[in-house]
Amino acid sequence: MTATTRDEATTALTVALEDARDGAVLRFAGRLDAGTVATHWREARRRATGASGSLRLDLTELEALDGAGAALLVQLSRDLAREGRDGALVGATGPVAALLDLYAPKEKVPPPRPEELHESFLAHVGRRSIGATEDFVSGIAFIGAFTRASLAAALRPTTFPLRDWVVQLSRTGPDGVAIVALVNFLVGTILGFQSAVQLERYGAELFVANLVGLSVVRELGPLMTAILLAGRSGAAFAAELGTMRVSEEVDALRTMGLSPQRFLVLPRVAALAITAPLLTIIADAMGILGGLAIGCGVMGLTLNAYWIQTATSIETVDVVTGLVKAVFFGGIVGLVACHRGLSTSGGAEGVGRSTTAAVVTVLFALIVADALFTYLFTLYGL
Amino acid sequence: MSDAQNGVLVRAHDLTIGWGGEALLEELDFEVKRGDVFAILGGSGTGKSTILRHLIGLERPMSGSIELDGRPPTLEGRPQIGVLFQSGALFGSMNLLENVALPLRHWTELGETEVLTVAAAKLRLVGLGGFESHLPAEISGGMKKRAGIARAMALDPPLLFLDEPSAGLDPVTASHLDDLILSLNHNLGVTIVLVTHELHSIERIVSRCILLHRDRRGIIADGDPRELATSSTDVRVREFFRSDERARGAQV
Repeated sequence: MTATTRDEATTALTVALEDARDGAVLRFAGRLDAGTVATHWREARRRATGASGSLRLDLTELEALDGAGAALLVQLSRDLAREGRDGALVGATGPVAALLDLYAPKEKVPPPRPEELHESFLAHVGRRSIGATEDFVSGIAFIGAFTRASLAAALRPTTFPLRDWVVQLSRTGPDGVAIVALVNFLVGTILGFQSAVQLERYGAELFVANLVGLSVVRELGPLMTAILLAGRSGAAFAAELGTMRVSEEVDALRTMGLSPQRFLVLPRVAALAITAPLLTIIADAMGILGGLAIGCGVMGLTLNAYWIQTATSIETVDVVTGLVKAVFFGGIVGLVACHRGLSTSGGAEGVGRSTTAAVVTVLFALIVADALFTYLFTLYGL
Repeated sequence: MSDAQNGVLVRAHDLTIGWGGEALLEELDFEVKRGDVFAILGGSGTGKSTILRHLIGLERPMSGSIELDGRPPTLEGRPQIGVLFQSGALFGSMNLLENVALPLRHWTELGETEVLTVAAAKLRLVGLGGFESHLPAEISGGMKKRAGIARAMALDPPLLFLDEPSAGLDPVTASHLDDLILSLNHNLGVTIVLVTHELHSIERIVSRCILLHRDRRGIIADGDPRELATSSTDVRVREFFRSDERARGAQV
């Protein structure tokens, strides 16, 4: 059986399948380069795979070959060999042989087939699941290491990184006052508006003060503040520590016997645990002011009435539970962001990934923690 | 005879290292004697820097053991080693003096004035006198490496690990750095373990080396680099030491 494909317009490449005594031969003649590969390769491959039994690839008459052609020839040869059909590349000489050698070095382990380079769906799910589990375990180990560093610093207060703590206090606290104040004022006005519309129907406009005051002090003040801290300080922590990690500064610290937990994480978490409740106090006040602006400005309540109503509805325990939450929220933002930052790998791109991951994980952790707190406080009647 | 008596400072025994359960290098055995300038050589991707990270204690081996002066490497307590990272790894928010002073502040009982005096002396030792108040971002790559060495030498460790000290530097700066390394070795008696693939440096400063090979996943040569270059029976070894000549030949 002899079959020949010949393109009259470009006689550049001829691929012929011939029978020989010791098995079939696929004979390549002419040029196998970017131009002819595009038009002829599919056909050549079809001929090779369509035939059965042993098949050699004869390149004696091949005049020219480029990188693409060589790569495809080598792959075809390997596929044939894998199927037990020989697939030997024979007859190459001169530059053709040299190029083939480059693309088919004598490796012990054959390279993966192109389709093997794609991960299967199951393998992908498996890899991600293992990754998530490892993340969780490393998070717990991180909390453990942080606790140890905190205890060590508590036992020897002189080793507490005071200077870094002050720097972090100033970066997380005063610098965030304006945005916390503005956002919480707006939240107060939104709450005021929404509740006013409903309460007006029952002639209970005055209770806007209760609703706004309590929701802001117990829930929204701490939560909104923590969310803003996650965006401002959490992202900054993750990016900063991530950059230190990829530029080996964290490793350098460790080789000097200095714990990154104590020198990098502790001052940041301790700073947020202080600034979060302080900012929350501002947030509470601004939220109440927002409600007051609506109550007095739009609904015509008197300033005095609104103030007395607010003061009688909010008890000390409401403020304290809110502030306790704020301390924990601050700690969560700091810990999660630092953990994400310190587990960065993979250069500049990795820093971007951990910054995003830090914000997302922090937000998730905050909501879970808030739900937990609400449940606990309700359980104990606080 | 114990290691301390026969002068072995670093010993790796039956060491297998790798990532995620996959071995990169297997069954490594080598030792570094006190006073050596010891090089870990090999092409890129053979795991040179990874070995270094294990010797320092930043990574745990999959199996086998590492001993630094008879003890496994540890990151706890006052460090007995100094490390220069490839990028220098200086703390960007601190000036050079503060960078060098950091380990002194933490691990010595020196007062503030003494700490700064010692740190400034270390910077002068590496030729960076006058740059004390510069930030890492304000100095060149070669200067960063030298500042990194000054910081690594802050606590006068007997053993110094250098990760590609002259990589990415021009030949003149690289040669100055080699002088500095030789001087630390000769004058201060510091044992040096370094990762490099600069053949010039190897010829000049290295007294013993191991050569890694990716296919072999281990050591293919161990000895004096000058002897290995000329008399090794392994063609891969001779080829490694000749690659520089070939590159120069190709340029002409």
